[in-house]
Amino acid sequence: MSTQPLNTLRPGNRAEGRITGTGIGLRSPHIREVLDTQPDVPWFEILTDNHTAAGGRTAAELMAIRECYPITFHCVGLSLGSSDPLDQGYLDTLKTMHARYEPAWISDHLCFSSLDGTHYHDLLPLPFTEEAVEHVARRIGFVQEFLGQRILVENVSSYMAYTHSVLSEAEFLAAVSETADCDLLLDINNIYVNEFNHGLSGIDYLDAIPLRRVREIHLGGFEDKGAFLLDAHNHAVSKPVWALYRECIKRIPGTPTLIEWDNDIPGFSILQQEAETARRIAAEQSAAQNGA
Amino acid sequence: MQLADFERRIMQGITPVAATQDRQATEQMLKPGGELTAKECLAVYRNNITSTRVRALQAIYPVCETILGSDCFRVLAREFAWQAADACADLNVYGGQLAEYLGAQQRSNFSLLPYLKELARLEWNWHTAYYAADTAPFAYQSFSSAAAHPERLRFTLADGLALLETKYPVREIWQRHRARENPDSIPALEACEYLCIHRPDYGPQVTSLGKTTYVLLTRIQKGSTLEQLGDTAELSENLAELLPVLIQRGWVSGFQLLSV
Repeated sequence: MSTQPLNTLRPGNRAEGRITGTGIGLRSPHIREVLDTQPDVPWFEILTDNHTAAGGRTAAELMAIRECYPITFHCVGLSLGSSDPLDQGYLDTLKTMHARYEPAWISDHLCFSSLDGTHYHDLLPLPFTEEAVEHVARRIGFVQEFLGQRILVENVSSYMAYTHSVLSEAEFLAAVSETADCDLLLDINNIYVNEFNHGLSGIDYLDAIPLRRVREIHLGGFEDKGAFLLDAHNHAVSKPVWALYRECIKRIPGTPTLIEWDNDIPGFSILQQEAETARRIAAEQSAAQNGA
Repeated sequence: MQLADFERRIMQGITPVAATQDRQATEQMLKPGGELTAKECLAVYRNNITSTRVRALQAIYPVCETILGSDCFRVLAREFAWQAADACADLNVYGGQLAEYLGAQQRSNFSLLPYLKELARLEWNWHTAYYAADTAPFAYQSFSSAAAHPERLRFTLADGLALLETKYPVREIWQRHRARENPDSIPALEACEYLCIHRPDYGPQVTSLGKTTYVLLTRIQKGSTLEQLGDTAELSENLAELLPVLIQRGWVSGFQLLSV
């Protein structure tokens, strides 16, 4: 594989342009290939927490990517639903990275991932209660004010629900986004996983949330464990998820979509094929609506 | 139930060391997904958290894993994952206490691997150096006036630079394993080896030091002023020769003048 020095890459003007079409979640195994071959991908989503290094190769590669492509940041460390104080150190790092790399937007998850000073690096579901709505909305508000922009909040998959919950998941997501006045990152795979695991209806879910707030759609692959679906992001997008995506993009045509593959990562061409499928579905829906 | 208490109850059910009654209390709060039982739901999250931490440790300590064997390392890592503090959202700063943990294991389990703790320290410092900030050029212009005040002048080392004094040939062990060379027949050290782990460009390096250089860097790391560095005969004789070299290498990356 080519090892073109980072400082001899195509020189800069920083890539401009809106986030449109189907992007790809950029992961470490593909970074060199992307820099060397400059594939025709409209944008990349970066896992922020993998690139917090203050210097060295990681930072240099991300800067080189940013020079060539528009990017977004996808975080896992804000722990928006935790009862711990927000991690100011993490926020400071995020703000520094935002100034340095200029992502189009920043997203994180509607969950908690830390408690009593310990971080768990997993997306733990929240109880769907009014108290939780107020709590999370307050924290999102603080983060948005600190960063000077709206953030996108993503729905998570889960393997347990709570007897304490008084709202449905969709009602909870809607209430949080309206109260916080934030945007949404809608993960279609996560809706389907929860459809299977909790018996909810994906279509009803789509109809219950404020779709006008959805700025990005995620598509990924689950692992079928038999008794439940695991949101492992280690497979291609499944047929029922493509079907639910079709229903979603029909409702919010033109919404940027991202192919997300985090584990057992295949060759980059596989992700490009997935992106092409998403583009084709979006184009079909657009054509059907224009013809209607 | 307030949200904070709710979240604590959930984590009590997930944590492996939870008391049975705590776990059962958590299970009562759940509506399991799919065909899972409440106990199995909690196990899914417990496994997710454990796996993430173990994978992080495997990435940081590959030579320790090779020497211990994958299965043994995984068992140790799974225990460590729920004993050591994990106080940062950034996984890149997780796992620094593994050397101490392995050192404790050494006393009871790994008497044939007395170098394990030092090896783990080397791997951790390598990992830290990889993610360190880049070194800015030394401010030579302002240094000449600052050097007129040796009693207030303190040097700073490059971000991520680490110093190790090792009783065992861990550098050799580590390098041979990384290069997939035969690690057998590595002679014991006749005396301590002094190592500097640093990152000159994109890749960290491990450099063996003479004792005087190690002592000088250690004193700088502990905050000695320029005047104090000249206190001992050993350092004062070598300071004029060594300091420019350390600055030129980027190991000494800057300085500060303490307030009067």
